[in-house]
Amino acid sequence: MRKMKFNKYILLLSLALTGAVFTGCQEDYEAVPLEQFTEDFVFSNTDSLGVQAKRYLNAVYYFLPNGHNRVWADYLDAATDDAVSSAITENDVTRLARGQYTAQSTLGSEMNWGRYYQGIRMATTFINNIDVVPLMETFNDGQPLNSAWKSEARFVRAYLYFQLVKRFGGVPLLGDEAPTLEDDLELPRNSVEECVDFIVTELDDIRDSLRIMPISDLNSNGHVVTREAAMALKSRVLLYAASPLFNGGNIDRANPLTGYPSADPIRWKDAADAAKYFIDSYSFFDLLPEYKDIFITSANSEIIFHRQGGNNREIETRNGPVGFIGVNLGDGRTSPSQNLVDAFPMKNGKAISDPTSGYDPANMYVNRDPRLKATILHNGATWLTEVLETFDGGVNNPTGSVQKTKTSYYLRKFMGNFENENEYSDTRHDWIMFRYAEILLNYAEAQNEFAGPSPEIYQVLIDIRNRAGIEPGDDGLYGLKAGMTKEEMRAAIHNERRIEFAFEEHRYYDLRRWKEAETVMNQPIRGLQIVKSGNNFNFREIVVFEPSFDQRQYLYPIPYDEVVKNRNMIQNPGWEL
Amino acid sequence: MIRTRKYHSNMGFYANKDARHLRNYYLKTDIMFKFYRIANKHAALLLVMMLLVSFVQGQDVDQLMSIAESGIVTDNYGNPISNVTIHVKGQEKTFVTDQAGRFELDVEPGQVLVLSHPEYYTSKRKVKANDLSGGGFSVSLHDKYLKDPDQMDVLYGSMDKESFLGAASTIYTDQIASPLSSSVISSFAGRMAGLYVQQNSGFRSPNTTSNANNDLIGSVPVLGGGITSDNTMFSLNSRGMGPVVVVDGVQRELFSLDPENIESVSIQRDALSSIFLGMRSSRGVLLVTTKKPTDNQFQLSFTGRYGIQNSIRIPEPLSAYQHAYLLNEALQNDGNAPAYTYEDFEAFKNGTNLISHPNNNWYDILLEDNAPIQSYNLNVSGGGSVAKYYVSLGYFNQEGFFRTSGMNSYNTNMGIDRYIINSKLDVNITDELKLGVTIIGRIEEGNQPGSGYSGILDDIFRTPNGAYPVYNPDGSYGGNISFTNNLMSRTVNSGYISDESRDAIANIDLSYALDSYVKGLSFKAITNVSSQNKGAIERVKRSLVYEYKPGEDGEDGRYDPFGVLSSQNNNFVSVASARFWYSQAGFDYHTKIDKHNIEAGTHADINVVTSNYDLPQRPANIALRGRYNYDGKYFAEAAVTESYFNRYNEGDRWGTFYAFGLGWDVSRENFLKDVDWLNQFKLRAVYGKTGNGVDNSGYYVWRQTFRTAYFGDYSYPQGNNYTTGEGVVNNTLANPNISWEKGHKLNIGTDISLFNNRLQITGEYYRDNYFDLLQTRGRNVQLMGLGYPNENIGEKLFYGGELTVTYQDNIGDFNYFVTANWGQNSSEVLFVDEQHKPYEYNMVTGKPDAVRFGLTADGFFNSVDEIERSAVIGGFEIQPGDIKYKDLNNDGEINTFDFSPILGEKPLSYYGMTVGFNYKGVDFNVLLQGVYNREIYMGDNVFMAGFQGYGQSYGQAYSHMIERWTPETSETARFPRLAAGGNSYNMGPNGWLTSFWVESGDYLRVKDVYLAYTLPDVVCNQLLGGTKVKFFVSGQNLFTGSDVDLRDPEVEFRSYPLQRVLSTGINVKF
Repeated sequence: MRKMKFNKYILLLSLALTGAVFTGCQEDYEAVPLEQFTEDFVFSNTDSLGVQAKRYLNAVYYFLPNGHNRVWADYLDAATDDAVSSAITENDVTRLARGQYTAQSTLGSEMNWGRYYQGIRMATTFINNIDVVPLMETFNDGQPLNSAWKSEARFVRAYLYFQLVKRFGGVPLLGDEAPTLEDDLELPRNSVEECVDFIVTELDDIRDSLRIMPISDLNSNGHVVTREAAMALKSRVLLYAASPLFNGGNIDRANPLTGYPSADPIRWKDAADAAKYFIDSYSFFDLLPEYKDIFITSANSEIIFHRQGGNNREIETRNGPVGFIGVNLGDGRTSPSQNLVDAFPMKNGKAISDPTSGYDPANMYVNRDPRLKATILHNGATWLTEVLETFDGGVNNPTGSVQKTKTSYYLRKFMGNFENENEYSDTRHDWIMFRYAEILLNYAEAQNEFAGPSPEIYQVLIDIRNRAGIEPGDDGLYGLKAGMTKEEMRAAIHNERRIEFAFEEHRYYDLRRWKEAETVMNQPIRGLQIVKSGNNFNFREIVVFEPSFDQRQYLYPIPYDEVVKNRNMIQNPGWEL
Repeated sequence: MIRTRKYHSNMGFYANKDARHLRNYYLKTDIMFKFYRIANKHAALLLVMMLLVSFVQGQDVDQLMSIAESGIVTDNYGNPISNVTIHVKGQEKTFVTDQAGRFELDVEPGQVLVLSHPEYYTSKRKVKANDLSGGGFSVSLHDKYLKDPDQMDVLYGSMDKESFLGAASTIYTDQIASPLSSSVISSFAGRMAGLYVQQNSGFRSPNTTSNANNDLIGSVPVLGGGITSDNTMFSLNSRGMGPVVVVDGVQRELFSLDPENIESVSIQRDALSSIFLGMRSSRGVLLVTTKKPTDNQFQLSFTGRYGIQNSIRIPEPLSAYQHAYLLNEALQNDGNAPAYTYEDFEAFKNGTNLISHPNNNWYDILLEDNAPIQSYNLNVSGGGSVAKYYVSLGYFNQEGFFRTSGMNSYNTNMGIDRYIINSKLDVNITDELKLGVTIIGRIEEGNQPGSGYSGILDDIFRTPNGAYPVYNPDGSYGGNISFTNNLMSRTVNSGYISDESRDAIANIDLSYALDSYVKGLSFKAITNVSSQNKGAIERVKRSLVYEYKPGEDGEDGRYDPFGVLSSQNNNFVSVASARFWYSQAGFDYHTKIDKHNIEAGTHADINVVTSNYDLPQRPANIALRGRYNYDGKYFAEAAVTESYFNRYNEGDRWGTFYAFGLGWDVSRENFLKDVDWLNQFKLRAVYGKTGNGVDNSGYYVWRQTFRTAYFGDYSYPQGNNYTTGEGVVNNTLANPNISWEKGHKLNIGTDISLFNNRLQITGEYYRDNYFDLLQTRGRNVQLMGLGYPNENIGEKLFYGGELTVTYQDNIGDFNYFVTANWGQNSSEVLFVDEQHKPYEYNMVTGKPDAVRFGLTADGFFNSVDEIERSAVIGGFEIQPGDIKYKDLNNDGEINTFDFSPILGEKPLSYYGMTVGFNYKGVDFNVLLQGVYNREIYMGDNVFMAGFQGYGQSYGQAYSHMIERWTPETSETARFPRLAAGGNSYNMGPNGWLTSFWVESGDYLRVKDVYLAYTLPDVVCNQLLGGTKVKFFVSGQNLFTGSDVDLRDPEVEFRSYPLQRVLSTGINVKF
């Protein structure tokens, strides 16, 4: 019997232990992981500082692209006639310039359809929820910051839609809903017209609820979207909408997804008006006297809006000339072309093809538009106190298989003023998205297309050239021909945009909207081979790349999968696959 | 010494008789243990020991004398073996040993005895005169290599093998312990039907990054997600699923257990075997049972092994001259300027200036040919009727093949040291209540060069021979703008990373016989607590490299520095930390009414795993099981499990899974009873509904959540000061309805045993239909702006068969066996919500699960004309010497519509065969292991295409590049024309696969060879005091035959290469 009791005791103990095992150790942790927070935490009705909401807004801003070495470490302009990539490996800008992409193999670095919609969704989520947050901070005339933040997100969303439209034409507009798993997402594309209208309406809507330039507290808010940024975007959108690619030169005339079904010159007027409105309304802006400094000085009078970069040596390291070591190491990623060099006029403003320009092929860098030296580095130029040797076998163009210039030129633009410095130092490298010179040239271009040359248009070009350091000349026309026709003026404006905005991601899309890509991008891209003999240099033009452009490339293909998965999605012309 | 042995043999007998002897017994065994250990080192002390032993056991002398006239049969430890049949040759006379292993010795000198027992090799022994004259007659028998015990381990218990209805393949210690390796898995390949093992690396791959979730015991492998566990060298696959590892009744990965400690490993693949796993039951069970205190005799075993490893198949790089020559060709093919001049060629070729034109085969320079590997294990067990123990100490060491430098006071080579202590104590508290305590401690220490072994291997693989000199004339490390981190410096002068993991596992088993309440009822419970911590210390530095530029006209040159100089830093990384808490309890009931055998059981368990900072996961199960058999003839079994998992949405956390099986032993039927060549003919079938839900459930993915992004993506610098602006971003779209995957698993099998069990055949057929598989939906358009979640939509079928055939027999005492196994896994994708594809051959649905799609290669373009006439891929500049692809749909263009299956269409089949014999103390066995219907994709651009971009220059290329296409060799070329800096058109246009790079992955390896010699009884007994000594040599991966000739069929070049291991060892038992 004793033993029996013992057994019972043991049995009870073990059962109790087992019970404890199954019921114990609960409630030691939260039921769901609280570090993975939910929407009501991000947009909290008690967060009067908007800490979390601000972070979400930061993530929305993040979707603004930074153009520096954006396309697989190359500048998009290396896919135009202005430059080639120095990369020794296959790269996306070469594929872009060669048309080496299809609907089944889009190039994610430049045609990332899904990424834009990711940003659009985030912006929409922000727009829909920010009003919950009881922000205490106010702006402008004392209204709560909510409306400014909301409008900033709407700006980003509009900007992303514009990125889609200039690449793909009309795209599905999702409105103000962030779709859920249950939603039918077999959406058709909206027409180009609907997209442009949506973007412009949004921009007009938000204009008065954004902060105003100049921003007073630059150290904390130097990056925010302003009223002026919205109007600058509007100017650009309307300029694109008025351009031949969408306005009369559509690659598929009857197809509203590729442009306006009928051409209408009044769209040029809308574009000119938008630019004019900007010029007239926002007197804060002016051309910065020193061209080179636009890109490395913060909050200068020319910057309308920029994508935040950083204070670093990245641009110099990636694109600076090879042949330097230590902190001055450069990878020479970008090789500007002879085509671009030839596009710069002489210091007197005359094109080098003009027999009266004074151009000397044996001293081709002498007496040129000062912007040339601010844009490229050439053989014999001074950099880091050294005289660059980009001749064959020179220090900056060594033999062997190492990556180096393919054209004898290196990129100079965007870099700090290191001509006479011993070494690179940290430099501000923001990506300037809108600057005043663009608004001026937008106006000149649209006005010329709508009404032909006028003194105002001349004045724009003169202002730009004057700032660039071109001499006024006896006639005060800075090398411009007097009494130009509309066509001559168009050519002058196109070339001015090319050299003024080189490597600023304008030319690639300008060539498309002007429908000039089919000509320009089927011509060889040239470089210079320089052979040193004694103290002399022999120059020989060489073809470094043969691009190729096809009509269908005016618009990118929508990724094949997106078309197959969505029965209402229509592919762009020529891109069935 | 024979007396001593007998003393041992009887010790347990006495202890059984009277528990009071226990204390005494412990005392004696302890003393003896110590002396035996000393004796091993100092043979001269044997005598002292003998005296002492006689002293402590003096009281038993009488007993010994009384059995002097009989013989005794023991195993290698000297434990008695009962039921040994002893046949006197040429006579009818047969003896059988009793419980104490004794038998009456009624024979004449000169007669030959044949001793046989199902678990031991048949042995012959001639009776000598002194056997009968007081010396005593003693024979020891040798364990069979292939074991076939009547009881088998199943999940959370054991059962009569006869009643088992599922599919199981089991191996035992001898098979497991043969390879000398850091992982016990290296012995699995080719041994068990139904388990496919692929080796991915020749060395463990230590994780030294912070907060890593893998590399932990207890984290269970995920299908398709690779294996996350302490196993980093192998992938395991059983019927298309990664099996769940259960060690001694607890779910955990513990692949770096000491093989000497493992009693058996079994892969059980049917639904009934795994159903108690509930939400993990879709996957097979890999059951590991470690050695237990088996009986109440003191026994000791020591094994020491030492071996040499060398790498199988190191790639052959091009010499610097060949590289330069072919790079020029590649550049010119693409219309680029050549990089090297004629003078460069000459300099590379003649080695005239090894600074400017070096030729370094990095494999030769940085890697040693041989590296040592060793292991030592000592285990002892013993005890009495009240308590038994088993204690094992193990040490393992493996060194890597990196060259080291005498300049360092520390080790930079790769290496692993492992210490395991495993102790078990079984206590019978009362006759009814038994308690088992297991404590396992493991310390694993690893080392690697500071620069990281995998990075070094990768760079050895990518750096051309002519890239830079190892040292400059002034002794500094060579390098240049592209190669900024000298490989020699990385190998011997980059400091070191040492990692350490510590595991502690404590286990309490409790079993309680409740016969006094209900006859046949018992209760058992297990509680297991374990923890693992893994950390790494990084003492890492980096040196500058210098490019030497000689001055003109013999002047002093210039040294240009590149790279980064960082002095040794000292950093601690907390790699992983995990706590495991597992508890299990259940009742078992069995009864026998006439010929009806009935068993029933309940089971409940909960497993709490807290890994790093994640909330604990808590899978739990409640289950019932019933077993029935009628007279060992008809069998039935059924089980149902209610399974819970806390990471699902509330209301979706419980699931029901069930399985049942039927069996029929036809040979027991009356009409076959008299067929004496048929020992067993069992037919059996199991069907069940299973689940797969714990390991693929994600982390609370039913909640729509956000995360903070501190730097980089989704953050935005603020204002003119670029103040960090953290971001908050959406996580993937939530799936509020997520649930476990489900399966309907059917297994039909047969066990046939013929000719007095000499020939045994086991065959299985299975058909596992998995549904509600987690996949993203087909219409996952990017307009959503967020990633789509996994949803329960897919359906796949896995089916196939396995076969095991074993034949064993003896000719006198020449015992031999052949055992072979084969398995095949076919599959079919039934539903994947596939987007529309215009052609049937584009579709995945209806094709095998492993199928991969790509373009079909059709030789090379040999002329521009041919290119112009052919369909091509848009945008590429194609040249003669490029691969021609087939336009399957004849639309004049090569695109994804020309995709068809190029890989994985055939059902993977694998096999193994072990042949062996035992003769007069010599054991020999050899394992052949192979796979067929396997294909590999040779997609490594560095290796297959060569000249990939590296830094600002071009990387390595290998000797097979000689066989590239050129206009002259267009007829015989094996590879396309050369290109520099990537040639995606040939290697995989637009990231597509092409059939050109598919090669057969079939192979046959001589996986394991083992030869041992055990000293004869005479020597052991008379000179070594009964200590059994065995010497052995073994070899792994001695020979490989494969279709693919450029690399090993299993291990790729970027990984640590597969090792051939030759080792020698000694085993001592008493």
